[in-house]
Amino acid sequence: MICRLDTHWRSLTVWVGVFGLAGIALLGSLRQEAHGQGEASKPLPKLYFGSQACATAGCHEKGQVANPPLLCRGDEWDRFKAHDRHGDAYKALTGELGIAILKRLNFGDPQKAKACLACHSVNIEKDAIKHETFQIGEGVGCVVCHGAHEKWVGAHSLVLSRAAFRILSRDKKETEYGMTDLWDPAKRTALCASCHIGNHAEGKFVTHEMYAAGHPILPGFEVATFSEQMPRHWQLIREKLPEVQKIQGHSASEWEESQLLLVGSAVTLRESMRLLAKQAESASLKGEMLDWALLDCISCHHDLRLPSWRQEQARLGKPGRVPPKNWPTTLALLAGEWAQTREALGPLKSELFAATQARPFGDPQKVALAANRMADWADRVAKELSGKPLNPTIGPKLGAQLLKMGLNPSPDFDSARQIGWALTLYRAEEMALLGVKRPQWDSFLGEAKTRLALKLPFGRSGSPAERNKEILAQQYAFDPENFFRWMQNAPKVWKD
Amino acid sequence: MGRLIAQLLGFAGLIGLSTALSSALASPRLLLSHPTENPIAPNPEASLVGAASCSASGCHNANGASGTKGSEYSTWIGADPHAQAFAVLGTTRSKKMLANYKGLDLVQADPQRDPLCLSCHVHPDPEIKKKAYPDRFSVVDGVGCEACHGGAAQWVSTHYQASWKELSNPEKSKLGFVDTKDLGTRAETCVRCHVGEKGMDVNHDLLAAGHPRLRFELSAYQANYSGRHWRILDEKARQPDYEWTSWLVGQLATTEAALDLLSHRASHPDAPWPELSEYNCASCHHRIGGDFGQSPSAGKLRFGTWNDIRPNPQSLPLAFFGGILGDDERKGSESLKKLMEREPQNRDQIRPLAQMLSQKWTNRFEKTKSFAIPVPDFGQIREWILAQEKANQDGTCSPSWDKDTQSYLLLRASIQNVKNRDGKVSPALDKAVSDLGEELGQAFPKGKESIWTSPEKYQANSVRKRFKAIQEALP
Repeated sequence: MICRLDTHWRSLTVWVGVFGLAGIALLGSLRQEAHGQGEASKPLPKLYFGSQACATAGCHEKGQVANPPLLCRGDEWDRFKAHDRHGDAYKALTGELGIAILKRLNFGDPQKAKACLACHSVNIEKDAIKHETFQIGEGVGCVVCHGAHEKWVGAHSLVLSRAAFRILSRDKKETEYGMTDLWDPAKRTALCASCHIGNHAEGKFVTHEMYAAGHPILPGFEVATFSEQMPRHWQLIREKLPEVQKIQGHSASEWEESQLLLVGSAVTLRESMRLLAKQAESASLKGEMLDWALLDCISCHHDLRLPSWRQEQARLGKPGRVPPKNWPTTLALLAGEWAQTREALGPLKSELFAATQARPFGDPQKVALAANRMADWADRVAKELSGKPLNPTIGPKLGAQLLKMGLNPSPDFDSARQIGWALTLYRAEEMALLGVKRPQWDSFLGEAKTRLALKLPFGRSGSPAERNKEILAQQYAFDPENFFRWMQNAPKVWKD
Repeated sequence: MGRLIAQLLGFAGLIGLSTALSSALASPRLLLSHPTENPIAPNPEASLVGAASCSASGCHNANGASGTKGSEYSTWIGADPHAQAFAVLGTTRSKKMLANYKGLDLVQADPQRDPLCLSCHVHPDPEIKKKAYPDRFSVVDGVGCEACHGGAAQWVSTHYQASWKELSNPEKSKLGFVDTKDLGTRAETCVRCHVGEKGMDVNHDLLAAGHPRLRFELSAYQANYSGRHWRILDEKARQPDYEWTSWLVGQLATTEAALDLLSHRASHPDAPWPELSEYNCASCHHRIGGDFGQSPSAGKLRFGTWNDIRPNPQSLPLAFFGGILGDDERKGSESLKKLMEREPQNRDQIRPLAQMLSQKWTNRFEKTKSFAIPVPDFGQIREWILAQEKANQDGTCSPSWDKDTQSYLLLRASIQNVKNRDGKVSPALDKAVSDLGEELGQAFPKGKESIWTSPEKYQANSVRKRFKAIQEALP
């Protein structure tokens, strides 16, 4: 009843088994939608499919196009399998380094190590919601991001229901069928950030103890760049067919990635601050110190030598006190300006900074207060910006503002990297949408790519461990004054 | 050894900068005549008469070869970094340090007037202004004679007379004289600044502002003291095992001072807490990455790596001094280490422990002054190395540059002690020990910035081989 008949017998059995009965019910429910009689939303039952379910059914593999217009490109699995290391996330736990880390942490069996699985696969509450295709070895598979719910998986794939499902709004697909709306910049960022930054409620947090046991350092996060470098297995709006753009309610001239960058930066700040606040609250209750993983790594982990720029810089706080990570505020500052918020980020930043300087490793109670305030600010900015897509008139204005950010003196490596990623991303989108040539800028950004190690250790080509080492070497060699001087030589305006 | 010593004597790098300046500042008040011809006006509060009071050519300023009798002042002014201690506060680097530390503008920062700086860079007395004869004493002298030998107002004009020799030590001490010939007293004098005490605290805030780390070890400091103004021959005559004794009392005095300071830091509500200078710098200040998971501290702060307070077989000060501490000190210092490492924030529990231990140490150290210092033979040293390496292997102890360097300094002192007594040290042992020192010195990346850097190149495994070689070379 579904897809190609030459599909592997096992997957065929699986799909018929799973959807044979469900399909009829789903079709019924889709018809109800059409008549506007949708049920009031209640938690959808969960079901974790394995990635194979999406691939070998012949839907997201080999780019076969059945019954266009498809919203997807059809070869997602090929791209994911070939390049995306999310699929290797679990394998990382069973490799040489993973084994060593688990042993040092005394975590035991990786299949049961909840603190690891939360990001390297999923923690499934009970076996009953594990579909038979599910394999822990697939790491961060399709449904981890797209939604572990049977309802949408069935509805979007079954011949009988998929056409009706396709034209539903993104919101309906999510709230009534459980398909995560990854097209919403805020939602996508929050989802990625849950692992790439951490999420207290979901048990996702790379502690300092884990780092000390050998976990690679989580780099500063910028959702648009990270999405691009995964590499992405989806099309941007402008790459899609016009009918698809219409279904999704978007136009090809939108500055989609820049919008993601802006909203994403606010959400990233929000998620960073929520994690910090939750951890600080818990530390305060237990009379512990803040977990050092929440603070700026390089403020402690630096060489001791004199003379050093550390002694040359005008200091805001006490020497020897560890500040919070600065990078999450870098682009959020711009997002705040863009959203025209009445409350400025500056004083909130100062408050958090002061809380971390109050004593060595910070005063957890004060940190929690300040971080919560900053999270609320970021949430307001994200909401404000989410309702304002960057249209062709205002999109091109972003470049000049980004450049202005870059000219702020003496950022740290991670903050400078945020600026580097943002400028690169913006420039690529400008080129794609407007075709403007800026040879000076392109060569400047080419240099930034090396200087700031803008290429991430993603993708299957090259060894991530080696790439991580290169990035760290860049970080250790980073001198804020040098960077500042170098930025001064950037082309003066966002024009050539 | 050279590079290692440069690391230990952090201030040595500054001498070149300031010698000329300081000599120019310090010389105008040289006395040509005997102090008796230049009488001191009576002042019951004052005791400091200034280095110039010792500088009569017939007394301590014979201007002979460095370290010779009668040329103590000449040696100090010409070759002793202590004489530059005030001048160095005038450098831009010192100004930046104080500006960073106090959050001041560079123009406002004046280390040459700051009590915290002056307490070690001139004289360890907060009442220095009251105690000094203004017409004689000058801060410009830096760490002058009286900083170590005691305020001289009451003895400067009598200490060369026959009657002085008839006075007992306590009588001399009453007059303000500090008997630095006694190694215990000497050690206690040095550690006031070189370890620190209340009001003379080089804490982590000050280190982060740019101050070099304090890493004191008496026997090495003596051996490499460019301003030594006494004769080794005399030292040997007083105490044939002076090299070993210096090492041992140095360790004891250091521990006593370190515990005192910790107890002060833990008690003072305004002092920063946790106080990070209590820990091995490399606990945090090491590079991330490289060989993942090879972090020297496994994510924890490591306490007592330089000033080791624990009287257990693996710890340095008491490895050869077993019976001196009682069980409660042993248990107490183990608990203190555990608390400091596992719950650094827990000031309320750390405070009473540190206070108790500090008190006990003070009492014990007093006793050692009348104690016949035992000198270990090579067999005992071998046993100690074996125990240390076993502890490193089975994980009860984690090796660090700090600890290995302390061990090296112990070996150096004990070998030197044997040599001083004309004993036999095989060339193989000599080489093995000096190779270890060389490797530890090489742990600091080369370059013009290398003087105060962290031991980035320290390789614990490679150093283990050096200890093995030493162990094999020991008879």
